[in-house]
Amino acid sequence: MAAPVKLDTLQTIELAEGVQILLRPAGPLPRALALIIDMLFCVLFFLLALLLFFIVGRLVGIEAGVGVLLLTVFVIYWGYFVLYEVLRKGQTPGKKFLGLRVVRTSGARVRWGASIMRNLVRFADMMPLLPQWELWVVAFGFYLFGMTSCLATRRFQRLGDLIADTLVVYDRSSTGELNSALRVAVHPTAPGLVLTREEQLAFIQFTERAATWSDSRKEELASPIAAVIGATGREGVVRALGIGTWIRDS
Amino acid sequence: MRLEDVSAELRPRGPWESVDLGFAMTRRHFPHLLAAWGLTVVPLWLVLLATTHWVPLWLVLLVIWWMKPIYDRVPLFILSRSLFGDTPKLRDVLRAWPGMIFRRFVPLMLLRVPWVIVSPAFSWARSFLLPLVDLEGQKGRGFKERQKVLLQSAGGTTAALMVLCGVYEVFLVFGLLTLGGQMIANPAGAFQLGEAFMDTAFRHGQMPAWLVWSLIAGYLCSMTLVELFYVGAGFGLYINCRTLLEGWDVEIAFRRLARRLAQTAVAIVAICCLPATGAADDESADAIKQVLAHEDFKVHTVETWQAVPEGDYKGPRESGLLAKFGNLLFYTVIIAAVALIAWLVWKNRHIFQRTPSATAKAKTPRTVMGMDVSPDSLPADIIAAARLRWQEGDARGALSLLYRGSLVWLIHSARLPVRESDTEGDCVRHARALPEASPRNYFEALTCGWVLVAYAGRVPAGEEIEHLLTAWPFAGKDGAS
Repeated sequence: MAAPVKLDTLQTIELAEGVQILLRPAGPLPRALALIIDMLFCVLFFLLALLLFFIVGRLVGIEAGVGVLLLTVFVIYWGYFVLYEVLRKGQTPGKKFLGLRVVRTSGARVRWGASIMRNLVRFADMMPLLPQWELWVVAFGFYLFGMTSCLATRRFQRLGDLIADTLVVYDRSSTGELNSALRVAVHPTAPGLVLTREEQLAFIQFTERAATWSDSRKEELASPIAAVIGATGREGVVRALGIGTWIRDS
Repeated sequence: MRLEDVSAELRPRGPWESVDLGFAMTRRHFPHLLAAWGLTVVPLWLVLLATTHWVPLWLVLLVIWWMKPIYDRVPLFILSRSLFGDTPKLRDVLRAWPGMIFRRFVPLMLLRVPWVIVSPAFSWARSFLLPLVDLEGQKGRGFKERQKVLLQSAGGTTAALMVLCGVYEVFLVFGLLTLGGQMIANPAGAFQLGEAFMDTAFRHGQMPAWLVWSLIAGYLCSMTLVELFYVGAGFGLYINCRTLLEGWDVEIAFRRLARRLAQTAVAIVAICCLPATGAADDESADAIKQVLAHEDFKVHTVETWQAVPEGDYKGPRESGLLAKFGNLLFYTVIIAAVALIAWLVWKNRHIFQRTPSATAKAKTPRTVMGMDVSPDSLPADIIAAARLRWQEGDARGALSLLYRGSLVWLIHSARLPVRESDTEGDCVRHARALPEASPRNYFEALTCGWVLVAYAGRVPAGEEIEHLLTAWPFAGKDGAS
């Protein structure tokens, strides 16, 4: 009863030039971590606003101080995410720390309209809000709606993302650092036949990660393609490595 | 286990990405998982909760919490089998359920002792390590070694996963309760909820039973939802570790390549066996040239010219005088139109400014304070009619006639801005604008008498009414004077 489409978290986008790019939408947990970091930053900014309040209150008067405080808190609360997202190419400090980025679903940069929209709807995502919270300047909630929407949509979008047509994606490759030090020196050999893109990638993966596998596992992996590489066992592994090196370096 | 049948895309992922894959797996099978959970775990909970008759509640709750690894086996059973293309039916889950409870029950429960006896890692990476116990059947030494290998690649993420899921479990309990409280139409009910919390938390009050049970219900709901995704995430991490450690993705790709070659092998052999045809190249090239030289393949180009009527684009500019006149006319019309609009606006400027006199003049009220104040509703000789009524003993009717008569005079003769909504006091205030003193004073006295009769039911003294009847200062009923 296997489902027809294989489950994946990727989103493929074909650009006008026929080039395919892959977006990797990020799930709720790294986003929650990024949110926690951003909240700490917000608190930091609030403390700075408080400092400003004391300075202005001392210099000008307490009423001016309160005015400045309310204004700064408003700007921080409503502007923090929008300003960072638009001016720092979709990365608030928290997202940068987690290696995330906000983009349009087309993969394009997020602009004012989309960012303002997704952050206004943050209120809906926060719901249910903490009770009796209207007495406070800033609101906070349990993020139940956002989490539900995030888990229920294919591309992990919260309500704000759905409305503003944006995504949060992983920005940096997380497996790229694997092992350039563990590369095996083999003589590159051209494959005897035309390989599809996926098959080429498989050969490259085999070469890159061969050092992490035991010899017997390498031989086992290379055994189905004995007909392609024309050898089995140890010799087969060496030939497969050669083909992988050839594809990678050419 | 046939790797080719795997129902998710396997490739090396980062730890968070594999958590996401786990979430996606849970999402795909969510209704199924929820149904299986409801058929297996929920009845167990009900049985456990029923024992609160004999066992203290906190102990029952501790047992419910402690048995989490047992519950985790249900979603893991479904997810792991459906990953390899064989989603178990609910019947299969039910059949496997007793085994899930009792298979290696004691070691699993011991693993749950945090930090102490067997494995501190297990309490941090439960859903990630459960596949080792359940799917690989690792025990003792083997389990320890295997766990070390796996945790090396995903240890940090499992801890973060654990903490976040724990936080979310709490969030969900209170979020659900808050949501429920906000759904209560009666705000006092919502308030009661918050108060009860505060009482228990800060004022050492006794938690009411309804709150205890709604907390328990909220916690069990929250555990259900979080646990399903937590197990999915752990399983995603586990699958990714195996993919990295054993090259599952490479194996799948290589097997697919082998199958593709086996299918095309026959075709390849056939192509390779064809005789070489290089010698025929020159002949065919000549033949192609011959064919292309034929008239049919000649490319024709046709160039056509089309006359454009001269007047179309030169006319207006050539006849300069006319054009100038036309321009002049155009601008004159525009200026005239603007001037006309400005004049109209100026002429009707009263529309735009609200002067009270204008509005008051615009509509004289037909009734004031519910009384008919149109001149036609009054008798020709008000004084005589009023005196008649007074003599008949109807003081109220007499004063009413007088009052209405004076109002009519104020509205129609003195043209005071009396409105339909004005009260007696307002009318007196309007009357103060009268230039002469006698109608002013008379109206005030009349209002006094009328108010007493109308609202207090007190008939003024005889001489007072007599005075009002004789001192009538208004010339006629419609102010014809």
